[in-house]
Parts: sequence; structure tokens; C-alpha cells
Amino acid sequence: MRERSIFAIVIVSMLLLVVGYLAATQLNLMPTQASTRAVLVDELFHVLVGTAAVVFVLVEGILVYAALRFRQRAGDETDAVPIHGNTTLELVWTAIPAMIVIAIGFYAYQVLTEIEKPAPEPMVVEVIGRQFIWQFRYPGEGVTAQELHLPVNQPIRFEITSGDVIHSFWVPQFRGKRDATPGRVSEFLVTPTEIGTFPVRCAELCGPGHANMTTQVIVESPADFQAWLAGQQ
Amino acid sequence: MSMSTEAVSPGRGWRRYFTWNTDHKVIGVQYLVTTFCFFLIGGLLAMLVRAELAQPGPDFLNGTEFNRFLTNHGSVMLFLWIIPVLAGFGNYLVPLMIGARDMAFPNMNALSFWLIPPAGLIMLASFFVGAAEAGWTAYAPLSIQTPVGQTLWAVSVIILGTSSLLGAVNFVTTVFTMRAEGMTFWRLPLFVWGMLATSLLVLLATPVLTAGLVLIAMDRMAGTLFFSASNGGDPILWQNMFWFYSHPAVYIMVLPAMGIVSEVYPVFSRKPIFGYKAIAMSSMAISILGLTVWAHHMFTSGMDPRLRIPYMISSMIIAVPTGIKIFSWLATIWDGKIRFTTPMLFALGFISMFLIGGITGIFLAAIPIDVHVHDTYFVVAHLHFVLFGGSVSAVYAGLYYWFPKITGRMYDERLGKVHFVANFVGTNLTYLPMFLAGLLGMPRRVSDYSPEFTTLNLLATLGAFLLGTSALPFIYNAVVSWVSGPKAAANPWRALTLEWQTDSPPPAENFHQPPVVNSGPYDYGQPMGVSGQAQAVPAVGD
Ligand SMILES: [Cu+2]
Repeated sequence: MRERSIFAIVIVSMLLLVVGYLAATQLNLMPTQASTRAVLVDELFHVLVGTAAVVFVLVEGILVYAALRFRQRAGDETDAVPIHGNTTLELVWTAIPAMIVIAIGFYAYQVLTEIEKPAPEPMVVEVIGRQFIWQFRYPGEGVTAQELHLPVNQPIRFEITSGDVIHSFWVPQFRGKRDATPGRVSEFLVTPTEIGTFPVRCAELCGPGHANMTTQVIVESPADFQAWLAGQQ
Repeated sequence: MSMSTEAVSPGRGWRRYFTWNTDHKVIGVQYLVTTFCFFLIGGLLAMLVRAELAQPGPDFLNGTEFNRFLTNHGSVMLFLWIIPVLAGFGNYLVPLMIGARDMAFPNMNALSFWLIPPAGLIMLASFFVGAAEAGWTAYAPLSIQTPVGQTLWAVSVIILGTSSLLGAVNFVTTVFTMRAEGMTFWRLPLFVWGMLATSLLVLLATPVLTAGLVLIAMDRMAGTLFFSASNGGDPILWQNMFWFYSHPAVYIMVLPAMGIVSEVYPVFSRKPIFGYKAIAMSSMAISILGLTVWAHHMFTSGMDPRLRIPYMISSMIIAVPTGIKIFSWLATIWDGKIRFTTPMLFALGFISMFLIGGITGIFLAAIPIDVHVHDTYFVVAHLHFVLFGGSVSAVYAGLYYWFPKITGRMYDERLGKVHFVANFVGTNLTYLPMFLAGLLGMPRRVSDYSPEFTTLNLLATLGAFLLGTSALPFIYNAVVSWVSGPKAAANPWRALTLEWQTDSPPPAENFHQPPVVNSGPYDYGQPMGVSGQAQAVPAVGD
């Protein structure tokens, strides 16, 4: 009887964890997906949220259960049954987390390879951070702007650098950032997929105006983009 | 027994705490009290920062002032509070726990403490000449251009690093050479293992930070160009040097904290620690692995892309020894006879909050996610769950747990519980909303933000003020109990480790006779009723 009820508890809690995993992967904690990489990053993120939820519920559940269940009873001053360890149990809780993190590492590596796969004919946009503005240059077009315009569904290669201290070019809806470091050009690949206006923020502390080092990216149809570019020339 | 060999030890009474005293217990108290004062200063700076961020728009701090408060909040909390407060516990406890009469180098020990007040004053005095404003990470070239306070900051951190190094030399030497008869390495309390692992990290990593800080100071004062992008210098070099220390520094701030809670669980569960060797060895594993992960702070820096993968893997692998500890702690309380004293509550709170910090660390190690959340409030939340939910909870657990030993008096249990509840609620209310703010697009270290983040920031600010207030019952409790609390017995918790087998507070020479150790530190529940590690030498003064 006792063994059967333990078995039932194990089955029920495993089912609950599976349901918890699936529910947690549905949580929407990210901003709009506005690039191809955002979709892949979010898939990875959801798997991690699900896994994290299972680990969290399991550990906190055991903690709270143990704290309530194994309280010292009033007047009982004796010690508990001495158990110094259990090799099988210790191997299990070494091996399972190791397998989980290796799986996550492998998956993360795959996503990384995918989002950094160079596109055949990217459009190059030079990004220059300066205290406390962003400048965007469209090479070959003779255009420099302080607002970023991009044609939708066109692979972009940002070439990012800085004119003074380190900044970091970040569009949350694109799911990625790259530091703008003086003396270096860093590459960052994005293919915008959503027409709309999104914030560009500086993510590296760069001085008193850091918080206001913002502008916007306007993702538009190729025709609108060409019209804007022509208007700037 | 008289104090025969002490060079300088001017008696008892409160005055000795203001002197050059070589008694490790005096030095331990000096560390604990001094660093707690810096904790309060760091906390006030945090509350100013949170007040400014309660709502969007500039309120009462301009960008420069905000960056100064922010930078010194981080620097004070890390370099003048968490790292040295844990060294303070080490000072007070390591000699007692291993049955020694003092640290190996008592005068050097006094020096490690006395470097801290001037370093703290230098850091805070820089507010009068334009305090450091480049963040506690002091990224070059910003940190080369900021006002003169940045140089004072570098000098202060160099002095504090020196203090930390001297302490580490002392701890390692003490543990290796001064153990009592019968105190084998496998009988060391887990706090001592934690201090050993931490000291190893300090010895290997701190010199690199010190070298980097000297180069920063030279770039600033002598116009050298070590971190300048032109003329052959490299700003990324600073990031490598800085994180080579500052990531291990997280473990310097966490391993002794894990040691503290490892002392608390068995005592208040009346059970042996589960998997003693696994916990001890996982500390060493974290320490060694901790030296190989630093560049996970630089995934967005444009570093060599091939190098990122090994750093991602090593960062994730650290979850394994960390998991071993957490599961071993849970197994320790499992089937125990748990007493909810204030130290036990803080130690249980440690697991529940450190877990959140640990899990979100995996998100940050996963490169594709990191490039989204790096340098956002997600990181702020993560690091505060590790260092506040984790380390600070453990420090409070330790302060309550050893309060009777250090002061010879009992604290007030009811006030302790009020403190725990306010601290627990405050921590979660402050830092949980920050995860969401970061994911949704709020960068860290901003003095202003887009109105979409208002609710989350208001919640965090309310939490921060609750946290600030939660220190008051603790301070009141500590002061009043120290002065007039009920006298504590030598071993009020019926603990087995050596520090409890002597008077509260211990005599100048620690033990009336040199202890002889014939059992492990956590042998609870033995049929013959083992009374402690120093069974052969009964405690005097019960
Ligand atoms: Cu910037």
C-alpha cells in the first residue's frame, strides 16, 4: 500500500512537472519578434524557461515540503537518524544536471551557428556610437543618419564601431546587441522581418548621457526605404 | 592561562576593537562591524539610485550624479562589504574551528584589517573631488577619461585587493599548519573548506586585477596608452584582466557563504551533513572551474567568436557542482528534526533565492540569449539574487548563528524573525521585476527609462525601501542584545564543531587546553551521544 502510494505520488508529480514545463514554455516574456534571429533565440529561451520552471518547482517544492514535514516536534530534543550520504543518489544528482546543461549547451551552439550564418548578399550599414548619439552610414549611398532605416526581409550586416568610449548597439526586438568599441569594427547580422518602429538603445555605460543614448529603427517596405534613402541624398 | 606570547593585545573591553590587536577574534569583530557599516552606506546609495528610478524622467539626480552613486554602490557592496565580511567570518572562525589559538601570522592579520578603513575612506572621500562614475567594472576608455575620483577608486581597490591577498595567505597557511591534533582534512568543517577554496581563488586572481588597476592608474596619471584604442593599446585587454578576477570574485563572495549555510543546516536539523566530501570537493571544483569562465561577460564585445563556445560550456558546467551542493543541503534537512531559528530561516532562504540566481546564470551562459539580455536589468536581477539573496542571506544566517559565540549573549528570536520576513519579501519584490524589465528591453545602469517600464521599476523601488528598512530590526537587535541580552551558554545550539566546545566568548587563547579531535564535525545522531569534535577535552564554562 505504502509503496503503491509513493509510486502514485511520483507519477502524479512527474505529470505535473511535464504540464509545468509545457505551461512555462508558453510564457510570453519577450518583446515583439522583429527579426529572423528573434524567432530562434526565443525558441531556445522558451526551452530554458520550461527547464528552469521544472528545476525551480522541484527544488523549492522539496525545500518547502521538507521544512513543513520534518519540523522538530515540541519537546523532542533527540537527534535525527544519521545518514551521511548515498552514493547512488549523489551520482544521480551529478549526472542529470550535467546531461541537462550539456544538452542546453549543444542546443545553444546550434542556435548560435544558425543566427550567425552569413547571408549571401547582405546590405552593409555602418553604426558609429558617440557620446551620446548613434550615427548610421549607408556606404555607397553617401547617406549618414541618426535614425536607422532598414528594408524589411533584407539581410543586414551591421559594422559597428565607436568614436570615443565603448557603447553597445541594441535593438531588443531584434534580440541582440554588439558592443561599439573604439579601434575595432564588430559585425552583427540581422534580417528584420516586421515592418514597424523599434527602439535602439545603448547597453554599455558610456557616461552621463548613457540613458538618453537612444534612437529608433524604422523597418519599412523596400519601396519606402528607397524613397527615404533618395530623400537623404 | 595567561596571554604569554601575544605581542600586542591590550586586554579586554570595547577599547581593544579600536586598536592594533592581533587576536583573530578581535580582528574578526573589527571586520564584521566595519564592513557592516559599509553595507549600510552601500545600501543608502542603492536606495538613492532606486528613488531616482521610481518613475521615469529625471527626478533629483543628473546623469553624472546617478553614475557616481551607482558606481560606488557596486564598489562598496563588493569590495567593502561582501568580500571582507566573509573574510571577517573566516578570521573569527577558522582558528577556532580547526582548534588553533590564532591565525598563522597575527600581525599580518591585523594589517589586512587595518588596510580596509583607509581604503574605504579613500573611496568615499572621492565624492568630494568627483567620484568614480564608470561603473564598478570601470571599462576603459571611459574610466580613463572620468574625473580624479576614478584614480582614488583605483587606489582604494588596489589596497582592498592587498588586504584580501594577505588574508588569503594567512588562511591557507593557518589551515595547512595550525590544525589541532586529530583535525584531519576530512574533519574540517565545511566553512573552512569554503575559506580554503576562496583563498585559492584570491591568490590566483586578485594579482591580475591589481595589475590592471595599476595600468588604469598609469593611463590616467602618466598618459600611458595601455587601454587606448590608438597607439597599440586595447580597451578589451582591460575587460580580460578585470573579469579574470571579477568572475572568480563571485565565487569568492559565494563559497564562504555556502560554507556558512553548510554549518547551519546540520545543527538545526540534528542530522549529519549529507555528502560531506561531495560538498567539500564541489567547493574546490567551483574554485578551479571559476577561473575558466571569465569571458562569458564579453560575449557581445566582438571577441574571437571561436573562443565563446568553451566559455559557454565551462560556465554551464559550474551548475553541476553547485547543484551537488543544493541537493546535498536538501538531503541534509530531509527527515531531520528542523528547528526554525533565525539562522536556519536565513539559511533556508539562501537556498530558495540562490537557486533563482543559479538558474538564471544558465540563461546568461547561453550565448544566443546572453546577447539579448547582457547589460540589461536581467543581469542586475541575476547578480542580486546570487549576492543578496545568496551571500547576504548567508551572512545574516552566520551573524545570528555565531552571535552567542562572539558576544556571549543571545539575540532576540522574535526580532530576528521579523528581520527574516522583511528581508525575504524585500529581496524578491526588489529583484523579481527586474528580470522582466531586462527581457523586455531595459538596459542596466540607466538614470532614466522608457515609460513602458514604470510599473516594474516602481515595484523594485518599493522592494528596495522595504529591504533598507528590514536592516533596522537587525541593528536594534544586535546592539541591544550585545549590551544586555541574556547570557549565552558555551554551546546553546548543541553544535559539534570545535568553536562551540569552548566558552562564549572564547578566552584569549581560544581553548583552555589544546583540543584533540576524534570525530567529524557533523556526527549528529550517534548512538553513544558524541558531544563534539573535542570530546576528549570537555568544554569549560558551560
Ligand atoms: Cu553609449
